[in-house]
Amino acid sequence: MPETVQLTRRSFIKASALAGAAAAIGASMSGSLVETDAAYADSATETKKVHTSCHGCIQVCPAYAYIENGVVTKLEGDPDAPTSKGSLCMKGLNQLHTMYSPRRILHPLKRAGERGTNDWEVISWDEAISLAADQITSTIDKYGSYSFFASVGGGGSYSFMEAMTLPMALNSPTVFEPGCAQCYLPRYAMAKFVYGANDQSIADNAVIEPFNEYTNKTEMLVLWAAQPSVSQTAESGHGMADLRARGCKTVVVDPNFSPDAVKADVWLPVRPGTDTGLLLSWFRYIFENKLYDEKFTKYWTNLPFLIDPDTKLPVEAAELFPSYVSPTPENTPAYVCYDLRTNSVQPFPFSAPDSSPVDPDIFTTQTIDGKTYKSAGQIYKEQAEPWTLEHAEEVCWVPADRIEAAVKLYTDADVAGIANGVASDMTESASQVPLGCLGLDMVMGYVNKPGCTLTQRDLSSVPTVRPVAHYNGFDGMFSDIYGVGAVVGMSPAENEARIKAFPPDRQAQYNKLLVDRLGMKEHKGLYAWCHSHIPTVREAIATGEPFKPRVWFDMSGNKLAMLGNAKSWYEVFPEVDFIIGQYPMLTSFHIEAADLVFPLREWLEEPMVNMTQQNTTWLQNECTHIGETVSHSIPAGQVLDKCEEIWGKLPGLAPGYLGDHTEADVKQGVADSLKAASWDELMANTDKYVPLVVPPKDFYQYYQHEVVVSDGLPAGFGTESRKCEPYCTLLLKMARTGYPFCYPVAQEACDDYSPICEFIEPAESPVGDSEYPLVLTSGRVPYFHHGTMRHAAFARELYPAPDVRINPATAEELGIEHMEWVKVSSRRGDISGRAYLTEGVNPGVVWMERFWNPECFDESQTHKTAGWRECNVNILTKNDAPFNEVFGSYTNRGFTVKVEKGARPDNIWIEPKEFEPFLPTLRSEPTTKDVF
Amino acid sequence: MTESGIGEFLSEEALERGDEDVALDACDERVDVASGEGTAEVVNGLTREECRERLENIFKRHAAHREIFYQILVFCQEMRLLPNIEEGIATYPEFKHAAQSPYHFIRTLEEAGGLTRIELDEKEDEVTPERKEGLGEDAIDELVHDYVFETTDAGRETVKAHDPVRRILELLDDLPARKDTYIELMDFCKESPRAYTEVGRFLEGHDALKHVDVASGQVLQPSVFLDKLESAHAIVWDGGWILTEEGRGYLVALESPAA
Repeated sequence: MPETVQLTRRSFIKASALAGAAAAIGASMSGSLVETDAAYADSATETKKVHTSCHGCIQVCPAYAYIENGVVTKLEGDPDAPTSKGSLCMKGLNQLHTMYSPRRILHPLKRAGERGTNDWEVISWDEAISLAADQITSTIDKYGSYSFFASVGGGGSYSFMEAMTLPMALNSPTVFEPGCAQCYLPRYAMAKFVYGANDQSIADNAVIEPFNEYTNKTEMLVLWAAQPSVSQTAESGHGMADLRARGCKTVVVDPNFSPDAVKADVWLPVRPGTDTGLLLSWFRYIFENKLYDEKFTKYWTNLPFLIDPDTKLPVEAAELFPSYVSPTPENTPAYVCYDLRTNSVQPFPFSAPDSSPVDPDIFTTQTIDGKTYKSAGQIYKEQAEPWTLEHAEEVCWVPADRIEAAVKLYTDADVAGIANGVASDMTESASQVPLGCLGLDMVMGYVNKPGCTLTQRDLSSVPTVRPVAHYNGFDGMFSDIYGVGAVVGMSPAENEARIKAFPPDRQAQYNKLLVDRLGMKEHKGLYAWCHSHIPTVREAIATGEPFKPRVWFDMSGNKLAMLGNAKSWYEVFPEVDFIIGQYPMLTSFHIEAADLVFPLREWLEEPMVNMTQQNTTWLQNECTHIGETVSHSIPAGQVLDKCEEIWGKLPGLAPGYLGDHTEADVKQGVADSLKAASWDELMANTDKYVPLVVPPKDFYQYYQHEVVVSDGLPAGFGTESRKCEPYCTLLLKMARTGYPFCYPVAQEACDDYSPICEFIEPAESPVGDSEYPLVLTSGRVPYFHHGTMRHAAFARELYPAPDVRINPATAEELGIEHMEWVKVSSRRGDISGRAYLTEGVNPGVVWMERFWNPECFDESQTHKTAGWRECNVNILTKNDAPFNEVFGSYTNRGFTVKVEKGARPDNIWIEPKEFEPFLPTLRSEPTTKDVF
Repeated sequence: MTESGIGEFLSEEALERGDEDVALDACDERVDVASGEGTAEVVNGLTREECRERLENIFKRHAAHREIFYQILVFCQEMRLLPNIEEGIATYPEFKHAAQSPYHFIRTLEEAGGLTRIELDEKEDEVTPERKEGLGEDAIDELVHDYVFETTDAGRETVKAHDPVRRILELLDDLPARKDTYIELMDFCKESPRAYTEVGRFLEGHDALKHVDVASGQVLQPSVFLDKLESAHAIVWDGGWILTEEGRGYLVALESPAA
């Protein structure tokens, strides 16, 4: 931390107060000099400019902070950042309001009044940790480890790993995040299942190639359910602007006319929740017009494989050709195809395309010994057959000619790619949409090519052996630690040998946590992140069965703004005995539910290395520090230490918790990431280490699947077949046994998951719903990230209340005028917003951002509320079945509502002057040392 | 409530007939007899109905402290000095891991209209509002020497509504398939406090645990039974799970020749 000038607090405050008073009365200071400390009078203002990164959203743009005598006074983007190039958006600039907000909590708080009130008692850290540990240990002593659970926030949340591993340390299976199945997990996991590598998300930095100005090959990009210009404005938004300026064509699939849609060559305003129909129409068009990359589809996907109609799995050569000896190793099975060279069904061994003994037919139906086998391609083709452009227009509300224009742009390019955003994760189609998006890029051969979206980076992506895919945690980290889970791409013998090397008691303990995790039987895709199924957790809390989670450690902001059907969660809070929170300020969730809150550092205070930008890694610095706030992983670490002191030994897995216990640990971890010997060294010579750069020639790698590896074959992909599997066989095995996650102990089967994209009409459909005739979807606005920054006065001045974007034709039918207050109702409840009339949404569609109102519990309010019922779209969202089959995703977008005239809710602020109480007040807080 | 008093809340007549409804009525009579004269209709500006609603809300929203609230209301059915109440609370097994102070619980009940506060002077005479008239803050502080609390009518009704005997009977009646398991578990906790792990071993392989919860598709954990019995105040955690007086009373009644 930069050194501050030595002065007394009294003299600093005296001088500040005087300056403030003079400004208030408009008086000049010249005739009003007063005595002060000589040291302060003699000292110059110390100004420093330090490297840091903005954590206003998930992408973490490099920035500079200007610090005067320990107070951060200015933020600006770092022009050396390769994609954001010096940009900093409103979310980042808001940090000055957040860091010094009067809403900050600087000390541990214990509830003094009832839940639902804003009455707190400041307590010491020792007392807070002891209280938390006592509640946790006594509850677990009474009811067992499953009585404990943790939760975390969504994308950009610091504590993802900590929340996941804290229950492990306590032998509990329960953790969740309102994102997860509803944000990123489906896309992340489906990419692993389908081809064992990076997914199509821009927000999460899986897709970086379009912004690669080193090779600069992206000609065409489809933003499917993503709006980077809003969600990650300074980095991906800037990247999109530069990309378009370089001549790249874009298609945007979004019910809302987003800023990216405004600039797109074609905008497809798909009816919310019907993306699968649109995807299938693209498949049909591509198949019918033979626009796919035939060679890639034949030799690098499993679409030519014949599928056994009984098992739904690709037929292995040995099944139909018992005497066949495959030339490939045991970890690379040979399958069966219809060979166009011999016009017969033949074994199809893995090889380089040009060395293949067969020319496989992609679309075929064959009868063998009275049994009819279709190729996976044929199955897909038949699935897509009904989806003519006209049918897609009727169902998806997008004109047929526009769909055609979009597909042509996508297929005409030498290289293109789809970036698949979060919207599809929030529907029952959460697995099917990524299946479709990945499948399209695969049949087009847009994989591992310069300019496409499905790329892998740096030298570690260049294989030397047969690629494999690890499961259970990121890159299989928990499988490597606890010995549960198969490595896909290893042979059965290799997997068996690997698993046997682990201690059986640790395996048994981990496996039991997998099996007992709530909701796992039906939604096994959640194993990818070790998360529980949120509605099932809620039900368990409500009913107490099959066990009651009753001590809760939450590591996020406002659960009541983010959880689907928020009221249903509010109703079960009384069943939770003790709720611990940690955050830099109090939110609705803390007001309504928390019993203890630990104060956290803001991003200007917390050292971190998080996301990268292309081939560069940057530092999030400790620019200042106030109060007794701590870095995000410390409270849980300290509480666990106390639990261990009480018990003697933690009951869970070891190593269990993966997080830091002290600020020194945090700082050393950051130094290690940037390859500095120590934090002090990093601070003394920051420019030497920041950014950490991987040479472009090493970072940008392509065609990894064609590299010949140790077995003499091209590497291929980390799947069982060693090919891209748009017909996702792993989904079938997963549904039936929990493979690969639960290997070697099979989990109980559920209904089969669909291995290909299939159309699902949303459960709440505007088609035929006379009571709630409109369909609602949501998305971001550039001012806020998830539940953050609703306290930032300048941002609220620009966007004080949520817009309800509505087509003028629909508004006219309802007698609603522009910016009029309306009531929006669903089957779950009703909220308020202001109608924003725009052609940017289809008739019959409304769009509304998540919102909550921290002003509702301001001291000035006569009747305080917690601010989550008034304008919060998650009052409306749907958290009951049907869920997405693989991940259990519920429906945050694409459910039905009605809109009628309404009124401004009490307690919420709209006019700029009303937000004055939110203006920063803590700049005079002294800088403080580390607490731990 | 002692073993010898079992017959007071489970009428012999009811036990002979196995008539639990009558037994419940007997509970009601017992509580009414203990009610005494009751207190004023309006408390803290709240009507009796409003107080009842607030008290029910407290009981609903504070599952972890419900028994503490209940026992305070029971204890204060006779007028009690504040220090005595606080000392009493400190002895409750449930208080050992409570997150709030005894006074917090008392104040919560008072604000909800479950307890009424009476200020006393040094001679233990009530300090009425009339006596405070014209006195400054310091003088009032000098005058008030102590506080007593008494359960209000709404508080007494709440006691009745949450009577552990009623709760135990309702629990055992709720899912007949589990009744035997509850009784076996209560018996298991009769003699000495049981750790959770002991309970787990006791129920291992038990048919009751084989029930599959519809929502999750999973079998029940032993904690389900502990949670339900605790909510009914049949058992309590006191360094281990042990039968309460009410729970003990139920088992004794069950084993009595009249049953």
